[in-house]
Amino acid sequence: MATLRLRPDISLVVACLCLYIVAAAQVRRPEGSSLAVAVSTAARPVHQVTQVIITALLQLREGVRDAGATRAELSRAREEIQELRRVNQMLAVEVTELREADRLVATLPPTFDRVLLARVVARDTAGEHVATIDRGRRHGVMRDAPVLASEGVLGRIERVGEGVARIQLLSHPLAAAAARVVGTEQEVLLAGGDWPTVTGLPAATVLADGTPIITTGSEGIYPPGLLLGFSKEATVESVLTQVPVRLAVRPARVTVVAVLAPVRRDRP
Amino acid sequence: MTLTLAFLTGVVAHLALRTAPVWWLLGATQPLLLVVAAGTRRFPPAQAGWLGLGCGLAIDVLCGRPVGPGGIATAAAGTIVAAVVARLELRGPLFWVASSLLVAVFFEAFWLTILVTLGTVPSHAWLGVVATVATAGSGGLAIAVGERAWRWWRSPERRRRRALRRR
Repeated sequence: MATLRLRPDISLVVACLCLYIVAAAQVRRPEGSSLAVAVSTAARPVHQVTQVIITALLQLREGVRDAGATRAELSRAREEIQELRRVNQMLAVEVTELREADRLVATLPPTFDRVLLARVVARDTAGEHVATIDRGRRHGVMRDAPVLASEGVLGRIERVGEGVARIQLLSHPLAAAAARVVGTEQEVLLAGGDWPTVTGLPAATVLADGTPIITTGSEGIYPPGLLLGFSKEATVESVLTQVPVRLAVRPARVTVVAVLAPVRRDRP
Repeated sequence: MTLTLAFLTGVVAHLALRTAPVWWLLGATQPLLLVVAAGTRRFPPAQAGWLGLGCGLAIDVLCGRPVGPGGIATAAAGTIVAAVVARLELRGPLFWVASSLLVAVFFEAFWLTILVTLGTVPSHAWLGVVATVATAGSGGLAIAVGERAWRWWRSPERRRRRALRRR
């Protein structure tokens, strides 16, 4: 059994301290006992520190909550920025298309009574040499309708769906158009393909590079006077000489086209 | 046993001095301080402190004061005076006078100090302090005289003289 043995001097000091506390509890003052005053005085800094700590903790909790709300708001703002960026890109594309459409409308001759603007939604300029637009039968698009870009003739409607239509580009191997080289009266044939050419020019004709070639309309598809392309520098040796042509329209860059009403076969 | 009797005698004397209408100087007497002074010669400082603690608590209770300050003051006084007595090897009448005076002085000093720290007003002023010290010193002197008389009364010399006188 353990025994507690205290030194008399230390136990005397402890007893005196206890007695002092007891005496302080007995002594009455207007604001309470001396012990209560001493305890309250000693506890005041602790109370103040505790208050400060509690206040700091509350502020910290509030700050953490605000930080969470701020992070959530930041996340929403970032998502909104992404959405706005996407919308902005789409708007930029639309603005580009609108500008091109505006340029296209400005270049159209006023004689065309019915023009339908369409957006190119797909294209295959290397293999099939076709492009797809977002207008179809429902919008009044008809087969063999000529399709123009702002630079000139792009091709003709090959197939018509309900809401879409397919364009046969002038670079298509089977594409052809009756044409005329500016500065000559002879009608020539522009044949498509990877290397478009014109044939039928009189012999000894000398063509400068960049001579415009325009439609004559005699094939019954394209209205006359539309720019097809530009000839390269060449000297025609015979009627069979094929003069290389640089088409006016680069299909890969076209985003907006104008679909004209098909030319009537009985039109002169 | 002797200290117990002395303690009881001191309590009775204290009550008698507080009850009977006596001169005001005698009313300031603290007989129990003499008991503490007596213990300083018999006990080491720590035990003398415990004796002082008991006597001081009795003083507080008998005077109707808050219990504690008197006990602490008397314990401190008893401890210090016991150390002084052992150091100076006080004996005889000098011991009684010096120890009673020192116990009273330290008791009053510590008691006033404790009361000041507790924020209360002492029951007496400097005149009461002087009266307490003076009466304690007088009490010590009286005990010293009584002790000397008692030793003389029981001395072998006196017995021999009485025996020669009877012959």
